[in-house]
Amino acid sequence: MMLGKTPPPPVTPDNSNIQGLVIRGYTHPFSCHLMFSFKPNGITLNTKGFFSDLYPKVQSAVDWGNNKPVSMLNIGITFYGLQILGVAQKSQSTFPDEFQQGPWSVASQQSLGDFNDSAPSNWWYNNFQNADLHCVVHAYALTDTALTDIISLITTSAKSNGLTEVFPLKSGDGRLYQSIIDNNPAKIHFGYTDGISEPALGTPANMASRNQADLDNFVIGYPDYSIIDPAPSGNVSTNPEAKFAFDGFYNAFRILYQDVAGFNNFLLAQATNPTNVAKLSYLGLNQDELVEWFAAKLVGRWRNGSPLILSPDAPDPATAQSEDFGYATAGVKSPNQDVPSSFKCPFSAHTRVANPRDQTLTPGEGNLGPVRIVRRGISYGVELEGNTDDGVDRGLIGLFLCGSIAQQFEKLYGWMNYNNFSPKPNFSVKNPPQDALLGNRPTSPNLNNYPGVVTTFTIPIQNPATPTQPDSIVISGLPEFIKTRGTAYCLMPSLKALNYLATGVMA
Amino acid sequence: MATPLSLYIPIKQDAVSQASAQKLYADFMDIVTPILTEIQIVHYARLVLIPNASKKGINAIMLITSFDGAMNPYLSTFWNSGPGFKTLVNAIAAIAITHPPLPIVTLSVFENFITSNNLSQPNDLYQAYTYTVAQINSGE
Repeated sequence: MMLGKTPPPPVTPDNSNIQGLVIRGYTHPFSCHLMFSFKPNGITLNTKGFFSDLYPKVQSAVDWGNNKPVSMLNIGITFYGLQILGVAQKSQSTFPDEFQQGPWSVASQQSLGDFNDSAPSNWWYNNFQNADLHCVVHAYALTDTALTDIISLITTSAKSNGLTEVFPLKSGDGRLYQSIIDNNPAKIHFGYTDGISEPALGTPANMASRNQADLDNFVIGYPDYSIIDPAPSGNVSTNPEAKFAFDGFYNAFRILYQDVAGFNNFLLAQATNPTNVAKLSYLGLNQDELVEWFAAKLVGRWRNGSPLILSPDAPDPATAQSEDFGYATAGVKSPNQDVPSSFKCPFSAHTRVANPRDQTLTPGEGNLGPVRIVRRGISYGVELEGNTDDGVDRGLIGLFLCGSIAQQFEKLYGWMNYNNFSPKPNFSVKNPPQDALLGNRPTSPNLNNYPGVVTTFTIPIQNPATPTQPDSIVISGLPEFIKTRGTAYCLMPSLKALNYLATGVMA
Repeated sequence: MATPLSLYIPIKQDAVSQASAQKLYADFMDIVTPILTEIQIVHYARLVLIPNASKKGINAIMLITSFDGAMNPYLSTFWNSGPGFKTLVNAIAAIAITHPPLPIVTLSVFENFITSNNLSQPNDLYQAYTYTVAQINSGE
């Protein structure tokens, strides 16, 4: 936000210049996420030829109406990639520091907390070095054949223009293909419907109406009303980096293995634990229903999407896509005493941590409300049959889109690893818990980074027959349900910027 | 474990800049005390004037602090804390030998100014305790 002067009227970005992913979630049933290094593959590197070949298939944010593209793509480029392309400066770059340093940096790992098997030194199965990833191409198609065709276009161009394809997995052909769970593209391996409750991406009418969900917090170049101020946002006439980055956004591209068997068995163990069963007997639920009850408490939504705040007792198709609700309980004098909402949704439930909505934040978080992020995650790997691990690699292809990787993606990840962002009673000051589903469970010596952290998950309960005697289910030693396979920070340039890479001419 | 920040800013040698540095040093506590008390994440903060090797005049300003939370996402907490902090940053930048175009009015320019002049890394800190400011103040 500009200071000391009245800003000009808010400007709405031109959708034809923005890569479409940030504006809309693609529902194409087939996708592949291809990764490339600009390290020459034995012939002279010709990135202009590569981007020229791909540019016609780049999908903008313009509404396609009834003409849904049969195949299309979006492109992300890392900071090192931008340096090789001559776009980012070798020194004194104005791109954000976390983008320059990369997700494996010590500074970013303060928030991401990738320890042990998830450590950056283990990313991508060591198929390639983190810094050697320069470009990610996200290809989408309506049919398997169309996907094969666009992958062929991409890889043929890469090979003939001297790029080296790098492979993130060790299974199959090493590429990241979308998988469909239960014929539902929105469903993830843990069984939940994902992608609900995305930021509205509106334009503020004035300074008083701006909020964290506005588009100017996600797209670079609209600082006047932005809370986040995506960078580089300097003068495009004097800063070539700002000119290139204008109308771009960032993608924190993160591959998360999901231990589905471990997760399923964890739920079953909770649902059959005699103490839990006795405490929850007032609910009158059978074992399968108790499994679903615990699954909902971990995430804050039932697996169909119904939020616990609106549907505390059972999933309800009518609330499956609901986004209009808050956590604060009316009439409670202080957020420290807001226990009633926790009877519906535990404080460390994943969706309540990742999007606390109207929940009061601690002073250190500022007074501009919780930051938001755009999620375009999809599953990879075949679905697990049964509850025994089959050794197959499966999980989430996470596309976390934002205007500031540090202020939005890393801040939320820090919250997930250390729930100290709100003065709610169960966010104990002395012993903060973690996100029940996605927290990376630290071990020594990394414990020092999270003072007093506990891996205990508390589910407050209240038997209507004994309203003056609230109780809780306390689960100690939450397992680590995910492992980080790799992370890349990419700029998703505007179409004009991509055209510049294809032609050498900036419109 | 807190995050250390050691902001090292070599300053101009003209009389006005040197006097400004002295005034910043004199006013520092009055400026930051209400801000840092409010946000409750800073363990300590001090401004140091580093003399020239000749012992005449000031070579650089150094702002030394440690705070809870990761460096990347929590620099914005300081920037968003109010006009007092922005005024302080601009006063420091105004006498810096190298600085971005002034005034600094956007968060991203502020972040780059800080990170490009920070001499500390997240692990460059000995701490006798691991508690956060909130934990220490809570008395739990």
